Amino acid sequence: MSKKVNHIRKGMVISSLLLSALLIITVIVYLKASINRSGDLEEGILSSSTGILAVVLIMLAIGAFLYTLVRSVRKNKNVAKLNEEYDIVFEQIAQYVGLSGLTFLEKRELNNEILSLFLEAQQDNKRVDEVIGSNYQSFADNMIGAYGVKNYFLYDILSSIQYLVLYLVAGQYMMSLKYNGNYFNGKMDYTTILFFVLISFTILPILYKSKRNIIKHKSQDVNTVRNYLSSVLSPMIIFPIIIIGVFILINEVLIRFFDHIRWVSFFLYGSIVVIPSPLILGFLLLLVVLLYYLKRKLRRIIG
Amino acid sequence: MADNTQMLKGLLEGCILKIISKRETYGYAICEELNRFGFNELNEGTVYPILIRLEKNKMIFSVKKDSPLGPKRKYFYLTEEGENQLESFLVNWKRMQARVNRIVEEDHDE
Repeated sequence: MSKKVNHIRKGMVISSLLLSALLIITVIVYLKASINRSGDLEEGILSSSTGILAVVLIMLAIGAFLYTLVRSVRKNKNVAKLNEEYDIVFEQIAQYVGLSGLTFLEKRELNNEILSLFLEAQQDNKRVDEVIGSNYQSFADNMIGAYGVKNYFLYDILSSIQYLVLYLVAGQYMMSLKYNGNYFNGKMDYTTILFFVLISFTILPILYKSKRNIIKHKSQDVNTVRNYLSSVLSPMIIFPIIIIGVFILINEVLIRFFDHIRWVSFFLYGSIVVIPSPLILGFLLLLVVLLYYLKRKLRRIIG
Repeated sequence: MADNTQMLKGLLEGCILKIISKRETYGYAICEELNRFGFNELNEGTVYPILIRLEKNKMIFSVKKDSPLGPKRKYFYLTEEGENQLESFLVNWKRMQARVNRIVEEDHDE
């Protein structure tokens, strides 16, 4: 493992730690403000949707940090044979491939092909650009395109719908804990539903898109300080923070200044059972499976 | 003036099928072979996607074998469909080559 990649990975771990900590602090502050305002957490943190959402976000933040930490430590023994130049490019291409529409097996196969190619070329003392050209993203696109995957937009939309459905199904389960475990009585706040919609259709596509643009042109130098900064200030970190921040801010403004307005009050304090019956639940779960096959089918037609 | 890139795209798949038909081989070696025959402008980034497409279209199949360098290497072989495709390519190439040569030689004679 090259020193530069070690620095890059350390930078990612530190950034992930800072952001996770920031998210946890934000959630705790927001939770405390909610308790002061409504007092509805007297029965315990899992007795309200706000509390449940807070717990979920904290768990996600911790999980994200642990995931980044584990990924930074785990070393593929073959990747460790790459020199610095190949190591950096391989890492970025593998990440790019990871966000393509390929299946898990295709991604693994493709990454192995590229790794094998890099090891062969490295043995012959070739530079990376002699092997794959100077535009690494174009090389990655050609390799992914050879599997028939080209259109990401529709794929992302379908993925967003899948995630939203899964959030709603899981979210209702968490809300139902308040109603003696009766799943079909679990009411979800409108603000929580909106938050799930926001994550699915805004934050996730932004994350995918910005990660797909991560490959730099050969002419851009990779230096450690820039990588620390770019990993902290990259769109995939900044945009989600801004979107979540704006959401919380709008929520607070509405509560403080506009909750006397009937529709605002309805939106802020109202709730609904999203999945009222086993039939609806079955339909939604079937939809998730159908969307999976549709994504795979579509890319063959579009690609 | 003829665009080498466009001409090359049309011929590359046939050339790769021909190389694979001679003996078992793998991606990097195929590229080296093409360079040896004078296709110096080609790099592995051009050849590998073609190999993936040929395998997806069932013109070739692969078998993974141990490699001294690391991950298993994919060795390629022609399928029956690939052999038919190669034969078709060779016939078309000879036909086209003869026609182009006639045009070029006629110009030279003049």
